[in-house]
Amino acid sequence: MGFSSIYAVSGSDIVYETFDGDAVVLDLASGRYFGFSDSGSCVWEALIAHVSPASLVGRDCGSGVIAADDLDAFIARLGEYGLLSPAAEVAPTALSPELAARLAAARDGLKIDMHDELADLVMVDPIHDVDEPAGWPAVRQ
Amino acid sequence: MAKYSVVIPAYNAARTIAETLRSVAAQSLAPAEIIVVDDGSTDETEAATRQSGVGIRYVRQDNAGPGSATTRGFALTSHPHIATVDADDLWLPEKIERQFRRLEEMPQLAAVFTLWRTFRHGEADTGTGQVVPGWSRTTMLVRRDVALAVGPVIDPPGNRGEMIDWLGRAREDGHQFGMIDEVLSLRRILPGSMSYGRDPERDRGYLEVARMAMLRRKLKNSGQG
Repeated sequence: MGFSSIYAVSGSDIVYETFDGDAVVLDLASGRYFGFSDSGSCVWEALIAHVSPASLVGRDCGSGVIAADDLDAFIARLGEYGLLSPAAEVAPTALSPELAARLAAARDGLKIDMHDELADLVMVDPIHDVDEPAGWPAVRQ
Repeated sequence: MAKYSVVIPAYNAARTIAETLRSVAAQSLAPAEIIVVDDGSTDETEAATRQSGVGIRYVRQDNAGPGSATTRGFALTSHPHIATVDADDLWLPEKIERQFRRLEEMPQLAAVFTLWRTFRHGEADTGTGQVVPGWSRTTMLVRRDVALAVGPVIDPPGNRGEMIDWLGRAREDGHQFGMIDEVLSLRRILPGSMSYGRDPERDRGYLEVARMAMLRRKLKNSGQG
């Protein structure tokens, strides 16, 4: 990965939501889901909003700042999990004041946790039946 | 012989529920009771149920979701085992008998499931549909005491993922599940049904299920769970 790219969510199987400041990401294809530390939630939200990683380095994060190595490792992990991919021809956006404030108030370092104990249950779900000619979706990414 | 209750939550299932009921009634090991919980249908589900020719207990509630209807059904059962099925899916005739046989062989199991195969509504079942392990309401035969101990089937937003949450909670409580490696249930592909296709609002239900699992883990790790 690295800081030369803008990133985006890796396809329609990755769904996500932020609940009271905690981002939750689910890979519907693998059934794995992911939780983050407080700062990790902020950075995830920033990255999928096309904030450039370079602009995050040095940002206030709890009692310190975001270190380049930590951010690089975090983005690499997101890529390894198949959650995030470089996005071509996407204009970078600025970090929102709200996210910047949450990041500054964070208590923990950048972290993502993967959970797979529900994977077999999620995998069997009917959302995977996508080959109905007349139904949704016509084309699976 | 083992006695079991059947619980069928139903919502606007007039097109399919009679066929579902007939597949239940055709079991080689007949159910002791069949309970249909109509979750506030606005179509002819009740009439289709009563005209199916299958003896059932019909209960109607205001629309509250499939989990709520399932929970209501659990509470109404009166036999030591409960089998559940969605109102558009089908059982093959030996499903329940095979499941009881597995429970006899492995009494430590709390519930037994089967493989299921998809078929398309309105078309003959060609036997070529996708086969996967049916960790689902349609294939489940569960001990009643376990079903009640796990607690209510909670409906996440979008009415999706409620069984993922419930089965996940059951496993967290230490209950063991078995899977029979044989197709004994059929899952109907019916565009517009509750479980068909992708929808952002409904996907949110799955995320809520994941979130609840993380919150439970956090609580447990903090010593309060």
